Amino acid sequence: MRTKRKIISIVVIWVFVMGILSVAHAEYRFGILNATTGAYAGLGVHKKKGIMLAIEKINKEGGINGEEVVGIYEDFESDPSKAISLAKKLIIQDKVIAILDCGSTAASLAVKKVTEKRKIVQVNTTPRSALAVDEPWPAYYFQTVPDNSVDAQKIGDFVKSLGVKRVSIIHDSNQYGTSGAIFQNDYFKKAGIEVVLSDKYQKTDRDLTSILIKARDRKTEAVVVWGTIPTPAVIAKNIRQLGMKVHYIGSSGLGSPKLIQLAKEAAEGIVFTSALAYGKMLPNEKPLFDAYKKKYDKFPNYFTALGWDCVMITVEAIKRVGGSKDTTKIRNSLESLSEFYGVIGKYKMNPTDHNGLDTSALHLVKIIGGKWVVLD
Amino acid sequence: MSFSNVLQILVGGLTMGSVYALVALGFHIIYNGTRAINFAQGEQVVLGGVIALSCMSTLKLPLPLAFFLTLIIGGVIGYFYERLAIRPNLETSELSIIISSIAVAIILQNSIAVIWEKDPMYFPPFTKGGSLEFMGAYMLRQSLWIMGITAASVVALDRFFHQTLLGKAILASANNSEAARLVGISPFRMVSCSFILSGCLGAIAGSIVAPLTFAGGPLGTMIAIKGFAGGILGGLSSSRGVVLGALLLGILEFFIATFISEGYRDAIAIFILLIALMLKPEGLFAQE
Amino acid sequence: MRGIKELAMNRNTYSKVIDFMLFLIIFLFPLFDSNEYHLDVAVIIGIYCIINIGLNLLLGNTGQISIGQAAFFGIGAYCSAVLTTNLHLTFWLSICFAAILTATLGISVGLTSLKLRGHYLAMATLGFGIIASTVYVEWTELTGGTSGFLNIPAPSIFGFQLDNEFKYYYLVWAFVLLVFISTQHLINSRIGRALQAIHEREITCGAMGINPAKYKLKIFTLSAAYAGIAGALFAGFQNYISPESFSVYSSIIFLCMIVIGGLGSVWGSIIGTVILSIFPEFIRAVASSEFISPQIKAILNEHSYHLIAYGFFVLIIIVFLPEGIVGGVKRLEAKAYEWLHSKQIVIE
Repeated sequence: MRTKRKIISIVVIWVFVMGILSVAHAEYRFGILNATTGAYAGLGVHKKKGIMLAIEKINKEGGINGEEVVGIYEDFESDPSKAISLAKKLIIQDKVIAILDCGSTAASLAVKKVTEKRKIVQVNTTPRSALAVDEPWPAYYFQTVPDNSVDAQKIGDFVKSLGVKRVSIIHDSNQYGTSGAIFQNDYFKKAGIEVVLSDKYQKTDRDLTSILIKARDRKTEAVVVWGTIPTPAVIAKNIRQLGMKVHYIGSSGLGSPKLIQLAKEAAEGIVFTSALAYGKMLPNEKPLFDAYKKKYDKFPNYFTALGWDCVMITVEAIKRVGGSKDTTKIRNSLESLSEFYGVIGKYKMNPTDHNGLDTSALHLVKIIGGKWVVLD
Repeated sequence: MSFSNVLQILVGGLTMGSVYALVALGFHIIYNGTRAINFAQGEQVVLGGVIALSCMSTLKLPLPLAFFLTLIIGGVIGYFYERLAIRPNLETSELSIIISSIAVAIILQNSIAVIWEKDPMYFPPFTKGGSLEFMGAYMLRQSLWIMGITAASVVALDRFFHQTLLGKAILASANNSEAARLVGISPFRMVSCSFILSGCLGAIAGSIVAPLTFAGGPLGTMIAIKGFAGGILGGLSSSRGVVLGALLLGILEFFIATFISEGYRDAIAIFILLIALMLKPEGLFAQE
Repeated sequence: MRGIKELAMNRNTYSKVIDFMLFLIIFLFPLFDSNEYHLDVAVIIGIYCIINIGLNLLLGNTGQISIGQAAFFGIGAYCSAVLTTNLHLTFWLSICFAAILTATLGISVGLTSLKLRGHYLAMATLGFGIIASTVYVEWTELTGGTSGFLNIPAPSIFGFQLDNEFKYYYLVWAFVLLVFISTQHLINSRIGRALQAIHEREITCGAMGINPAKYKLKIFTLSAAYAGIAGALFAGFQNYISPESFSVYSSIIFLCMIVIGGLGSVWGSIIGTVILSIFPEFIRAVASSEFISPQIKAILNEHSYHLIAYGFFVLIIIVFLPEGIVGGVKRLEAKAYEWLHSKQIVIE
């Protein structure tokens, strides 16, 4: 009778053997490694929307040389080690020619080894880690988002122009916030601006008065926030609650209409860097705004734009090599991709820079009267 | 550190502590009824927030009505939760109840993300207006609501358990289900009542903190862990204990975040809790 | 009487043969299915099996709950990563150190929580998990913090690099076999019987000269060491580790795996791990299969339903088989035996 138990185990093991092995090849397959659950779900869903809209648009315009672009979506649940497995799945089982998005900085680092080994292009939507910035770009590693150092410079220049002498840096404890804060500290040190407080918060924190009273005691004149929605909205509310009169400057992670929705009046006067120029839409941003408006009847946010661009530059690179499916050719084409205007900005890739965006891609946006006003 | 700052920390700590207290009370009630941990408690709080929001924005109900409707829905969800997921396991082991509650937590968390949205949503405060100043500390009006409603719930629950027949029956059944059965109390029904009560508590907690924490978003696990820790710190077996423990945990967290380190906040708070557990394994405020 | 004894003996050898056959299938599996992704999943399953066999020993045989098993897993992983990457020790030494370190920590956590039981023990282990995950994030110099630990070398054996899924599969499942055999021996030995007695009647055991605390501590240490070994294997396989893999959520999932598989059974831990790890693959296969229309596929793509399905799957198993899969099969077995027995009586 014990056999029944064993039979079940055998059956379970055989489930392995069954799986879809063969794959038809009359299309361009992109693997989309995206986090729609877990800590990065809030950003992942927006990136995914951008990716889906971009693929839809490409296919509506006839695909690449008449062949369809197919996105294969995998959710890595915000766990980089799951991302490694799923990257293998996309490459081995689904035979994709590029992996897009990669969800978080840690996940893109984790996936790097797989894509390098199997020579598949990886186009990230997250900035590189501060630890990796001094190293040369890995051969198959590209990104659609300006490096944190670029953002830090833009923020720093603005803070300097305000004539502020004492600033506080508050950042997300994740990789994005931590490495942003490192660059920001460096910038202020060089510019002779005193950083009176540099502290971090966790994504689930909903009351940050404990940090802000320290900043208040140290007579800070400006608060620089590195993080993503929703916690920056909490900081805005807390600043208002404490009646602090400070400049509030945010990184491009704040670039979401959600900021105003969540912080309401407290969002008034916040300045942040944004790749999207709301209100003063640039010509290259129009296709995304139109497509998004048509489908969701809302404005896209920064993360949607990142998702959109990672499809667009990959497709452009493939088109420039005549629709080749050879991954090395795609890589070389991406590396020499220049003079291409994405929604984020103008990409000028070269062997020493797999991103090619500079401060000109970023704008300063101020919230005035519940609206985004572009300052430059 | 000035006096006004200490006061400010106390305000923040007590506000968050009140939320933990409501969650901890939920744990306490379930613990009394089944001796199991209800991992879905945190998600029930998040669910309370989004339901209250939908009542207000979609059904256009005024706040008090939305609040009571949420309370009722919370209770109904608690009832079905017990009938479908807990009842079949009641007579096997606590462990299978725990696993059931984990499964329900996963289902609730992801269903909320699919039905509403993944981003947190704005929830208007109960009363409009800026923060109140008291001796250099600034307090949100919502904090008063949170503390007030928590206090009222604690008193009401205490009354319920010690002065009403149903409340006494639940306590009796939890204490000795054989004896309770002998005097005509159905233990199953009492467990059902516990889950309804904890569902209501979750809904209350969810709708009063939503103006502070926003509605929805990935907060459930954090709230559940903090509430559970607060309850354990005070001693899960007594209702007064869990409330005091949770308040203490809230204040502790804010002091650590200000004076030691925000990054190590949770670790240090938990470490203090573990030391307290070693010294007093039944919780700090447990009654013998 | 002789008949029954013989039957029991037969049954014992019979089950050993079945164990052997199953492991034979496991070891032949890569020869039939060389899809590297399947092997990748199988390697991760093997690593989880090692943890869960330890956890099941702890919970199923001594009744001590632990919601901090992922912490030991993580400590093992980080320990091995630091030793192999920064100090250039061999993988084999690092795995020993990982086991020793986690065992030591296991003793200290076990000692402090000996007085605790039930919820209070759950909280203590959960707290340990939270503290550990904070340390991974905060101790940036050593762990790399949130960006994770990069470039962990793949292990080698006599100069033979274990750098692909195929080779690693054998390494991991050899470890599973080792842990399986030693645990089976432990359960069938004097210690195992003492544990069973402690689990059922702790106070009586104390009176009879069995020191429950001593045994409980031993098992706590052993299960921590198993998790540490699994961690070292994990670090060597992924070449990259980050705090997210060792979160409280992972600990909770490990708990689900063993309860669903069946408490107190070594095969139960393996079955539970395999089923809960394969289920997402199953959902993935269904969602991308030809039977589903493109419209439904678009809806499935838009949202993430897979975790909801996962939750329902766990719920359904636990509601219908509260004692886990092995427990359910055993109950079926007993029923069938009863039925056979009644038939026999009628025949007689």
